[in-house]
Amino acid sequence: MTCDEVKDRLDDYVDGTLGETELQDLELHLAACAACGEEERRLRSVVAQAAALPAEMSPPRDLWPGIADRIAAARARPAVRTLRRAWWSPAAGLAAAVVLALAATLARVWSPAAREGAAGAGVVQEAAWTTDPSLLAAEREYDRATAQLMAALDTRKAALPPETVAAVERDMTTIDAALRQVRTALQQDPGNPQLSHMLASTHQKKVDALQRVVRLSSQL
Amino acid sequence: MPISGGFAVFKPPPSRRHLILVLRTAVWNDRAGPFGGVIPLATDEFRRAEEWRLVRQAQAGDMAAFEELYRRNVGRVFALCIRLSGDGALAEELAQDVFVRAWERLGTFRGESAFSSWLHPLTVNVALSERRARRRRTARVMTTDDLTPFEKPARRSHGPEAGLDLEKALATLPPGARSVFVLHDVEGYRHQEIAELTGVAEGTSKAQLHRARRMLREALEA
Repeated sequence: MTCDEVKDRLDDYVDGTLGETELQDLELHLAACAACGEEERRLRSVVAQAAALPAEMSPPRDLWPGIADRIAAARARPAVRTLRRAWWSPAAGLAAAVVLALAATLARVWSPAAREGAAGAGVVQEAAWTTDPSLLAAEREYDRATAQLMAALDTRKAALPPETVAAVERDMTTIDAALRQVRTALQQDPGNPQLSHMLASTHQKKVDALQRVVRLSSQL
Repeated sequence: MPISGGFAVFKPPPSRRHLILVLRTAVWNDRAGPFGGVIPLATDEFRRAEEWRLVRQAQAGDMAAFEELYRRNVGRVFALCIRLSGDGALAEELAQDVFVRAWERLGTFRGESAFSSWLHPLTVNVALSERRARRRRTARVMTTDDLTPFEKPARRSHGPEAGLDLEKALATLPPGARSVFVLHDVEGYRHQEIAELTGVAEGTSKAQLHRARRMLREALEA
């Protein structure tokens, strides 16, 4: 075996993957050739250093807050996508318009009082204002995200200044009132893409506001 | 007369990767306590059970439990990210991506392996696919010959400094050669596994390793 042939096979030799015949030839060469022997020693040194590198390295800063934020944002995101799909699909929009018009009429005829009473009651109320499954699914997603954030906020409420809690509650009341208005408008003009968009962005505002407070409270 | 007395039980030789893992576990155990390998084995089982409890809590949506899993594994994930990417700031982003992805896929973890073993291929995938995506995004051609001159170490050393020198030299390798070297020589993967992970041919993986080792030798001896 020549020096060049040895150099080509040295990696396999050091890794223990060289075939039996070549192994013998190569070892015979190494025993006789100082230069190739030196080459082998240097190669083994790099391989040994690599295997001895520490398995763990601490990042220079805590990466957790960024991870927690992204997970919280991802939990809220599916709702936006669902709602966007709902108003960008013309066929679904048309079908929804027909169903909504029917539902609105039926609701008015059957139970105006029940509809009035349900206005501030979350899940019950969505059943009254639309039967479009996409819109209902989107609202459910938003409700779930909001409920999770509210629960997170509840556990930290004690740590927050009372005026902050009061301000958050005021904001939530305002946003809920806006949501009721948009739903009423959608009832009268079902399938209106601007109104659907407004509904989604109002929901998103609520989620964003809650996320901000939860994040702030976790930094206290 | 028992006939088994003089026979050695045949056991298949462990792979390089297992040897490295065993070596690392042994080092860790030495640090863990004064009782050598006996007590630490028990603590390993305890740690595994505790970890599985945290995973189940996290699967049920408990962020505090997931944060604890993050704290226990971030060192391992970050080390792999920085070595594969060769860039500290990028490695921070990648490590975050890994944990966000882990959270999304937590439902698929059934506890057959340690959580760290489950995170490992996920980390490799995140780091390598980011590089592929970046290569597609930037029109800039990153030839694998685009090797910036190595920073010369102040002196040659064989102690803990040697590791630092190697880390520095690693960061300057061309991306393809670097990832093959890290996966093969640091993490103990075989060429066949690297080929599956990175989507290159096994022969390419061997050639990249050869190249990386040669460049590192030159850098460390400069």
